[in-house]
Amino acid sequence: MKIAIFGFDDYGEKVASFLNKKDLIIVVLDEKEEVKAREKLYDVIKIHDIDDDEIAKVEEFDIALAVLHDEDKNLFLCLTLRDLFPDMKIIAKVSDKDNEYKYKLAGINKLINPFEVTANRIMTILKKPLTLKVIEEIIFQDNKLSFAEITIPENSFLDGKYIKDVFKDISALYNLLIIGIVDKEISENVQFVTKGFNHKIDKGDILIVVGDIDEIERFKDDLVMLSGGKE
Amino acid sequence: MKFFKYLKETTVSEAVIKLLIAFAFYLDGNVKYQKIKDFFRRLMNDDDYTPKKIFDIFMLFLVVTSVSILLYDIKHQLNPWLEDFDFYVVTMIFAVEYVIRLWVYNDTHKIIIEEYEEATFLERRFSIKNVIKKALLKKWEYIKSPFAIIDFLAILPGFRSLRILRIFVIFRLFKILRYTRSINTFIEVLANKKFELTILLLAVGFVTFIGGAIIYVFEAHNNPKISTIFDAIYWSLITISTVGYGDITPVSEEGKILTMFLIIVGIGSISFSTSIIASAFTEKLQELKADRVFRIIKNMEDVYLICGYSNEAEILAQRFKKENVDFVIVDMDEERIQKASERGYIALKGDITQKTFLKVLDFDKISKIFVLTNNDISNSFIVLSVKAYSKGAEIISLANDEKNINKIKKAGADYAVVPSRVTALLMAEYIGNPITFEVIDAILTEKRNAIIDEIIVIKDSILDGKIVGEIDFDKYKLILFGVLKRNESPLLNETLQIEKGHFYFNPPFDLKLEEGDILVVMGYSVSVNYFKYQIERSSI
Repeated sequence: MKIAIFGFDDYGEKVASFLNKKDLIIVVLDEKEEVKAREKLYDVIKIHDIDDDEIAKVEEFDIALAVLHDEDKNLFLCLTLRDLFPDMKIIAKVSDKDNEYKYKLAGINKLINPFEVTANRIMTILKKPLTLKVIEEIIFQDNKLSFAEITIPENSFLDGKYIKDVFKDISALYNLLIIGIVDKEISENVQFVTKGFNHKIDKGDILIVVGDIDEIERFKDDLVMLSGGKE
Repeated sequence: MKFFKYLKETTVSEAVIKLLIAFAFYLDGNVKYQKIKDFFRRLMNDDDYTPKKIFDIFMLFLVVTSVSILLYDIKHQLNPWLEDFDFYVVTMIFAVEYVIRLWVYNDTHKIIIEEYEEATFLERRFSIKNVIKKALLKKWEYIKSPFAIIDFLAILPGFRSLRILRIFVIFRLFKILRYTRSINTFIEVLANKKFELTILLLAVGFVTFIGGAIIYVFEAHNNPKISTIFDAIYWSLITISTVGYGDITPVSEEGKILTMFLIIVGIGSISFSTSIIASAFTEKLQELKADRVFRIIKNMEDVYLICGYSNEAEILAQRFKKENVDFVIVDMDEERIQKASERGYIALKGDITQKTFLKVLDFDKISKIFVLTNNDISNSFIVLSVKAYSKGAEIISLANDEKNINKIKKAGADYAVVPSRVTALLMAEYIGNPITFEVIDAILTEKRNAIIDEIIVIKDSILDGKIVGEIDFDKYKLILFGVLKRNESPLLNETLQIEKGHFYFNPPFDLKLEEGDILVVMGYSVSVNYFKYQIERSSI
């Protein structure tokens, strides 16, 4: 999966540092940013203007991340990208709340407002410092715990079972918790297990689990290996 | 014989002195006396003391009734009952109030103790003359203060046998000033412009006098209405003030010219004085606003302080508003304060790093401080400044550059948040695992009511001493995410090392819970709250 990051200021640089270097293409308009990105040994492409020809210089990529410093340019970039690649996933940074709807009109998949994120973070620090710490540790730090999305393969031993019947066994056997499910029968959105609805697990559904990385892998393997869900 | 007499005299006076000193020390050490005196002191002088507010209203009521009685009395026959009420109740209360105010003004017994200590220190004789002089001087200081004079004069009209004393009824009206703050502010504003107003008054007085003198010179002989210099000056003032009754009018050409001149000067000086007072109020406005905010803080229970109204602060303030949390915004920039005020927030312009500013803020009420400017230098400076004054309040600061986290934490912040870092982390997470991102986002922002919450094991509650397997989390529609234990459990491998303890993810059913452990549970807010309620109820 190739990711193109447009812009290499503070945000671009940081996002890049959290992602795998070989999946990245850094696209810059600014010369200073170009130098900075090259120093850090990223694949850099310098474009001179935001237009179709210039963007065509960028090779194949699957996800575009628009984090240009300049809000106007960023918005125009999003429009251009959407125009060129109607089905591509575009993530954009928006600095002004008043501009959010413009990005939405431009058809952006995910908008991230740094101020809002920061405010949320402060709220969480205030109310649930432990939760934040736990989640941060799980997601961002190198330890054995991790979140994972597991797609139920065909004919697995969970296929056709109800979530409440298997929850306890799975949590004991694999030391992992199922916290949510994308039940394709109902909707494409995540449903939390705690809502109380007893979802029926079918092939293609996605389970959101937390647990030990090795255990998750074992669980995944077992799902494929141990078949015979449907009698 | 002579010697004996001397001895007797000294022992008597010495005994009196000893008694006096002993009494002074007794008062100084008597908690009850101090408490009573303190109560009266606050009742009289502390504007934020609730009993004072009630007392003020009561006194205002007394003033208004007594003034009405006295005014009615002037032309009508008064019911003797009312007369008695005015004398025995109102006047007596005023008199008692006067005495109490005199009493609480200072501590005379402290003067005695001071003198005693000084005398022992210097090994000289205790001088009772000195003490009396000092004590009287101190009380005199109060007696001659304007408010005390008003108070004293307000007692006088109660003695109705002396009709002349009735004129002092106006002092009862002046007493109103004591019990209302807004009038005091008005006087304060005028006092601030003392210089300008004096100049204006002098100028007007001068012109009035000149005008009066001139008209006297020109018209004393040919105008029957102006017979004395007093008439002339009276006319001059009526004209210059643009009131113009018309009872005295100029008859000569010169007099008319003078009149025109006086009217023009009059209009000028009136508009001038209006503008002085208006500008005094605008100048005072900022101060009054700040004063109001400080008072509001004093009346609040738990206040959050936001330093710097940045974009982050704006969103945070919205959240607080939604959750009904009280907060105060402080910023140096007029425009940003304006923006915050427009949203209805309590906002205060000022430099939080200034000692004068910090001193008036009531840090007893402030439990959390947010330092949110977009400049790390001012952030660390603010953190340092408030840390010294805050009484254990939690400080959360922005660190706009990751390199400054340590500096800001060293300055005293409990948490430092790097906006670009948290945003970048979220973006990276979204790229990698979009569904997990949604889940975490929902949990952290409580968007879909799904929350992770922390539940403390309270002593003697249904959780205390239980093992995890005994609790039916399924019944409560909760998932037990993990347990943070204060004491390390020998049976298990901890999953995460956290400052405050040891975190065990998805603990086995035989983990025993103890007081002070924290359960991290996942569920909908309704379920979590219900569970919390059950635990708290069971602990009682």
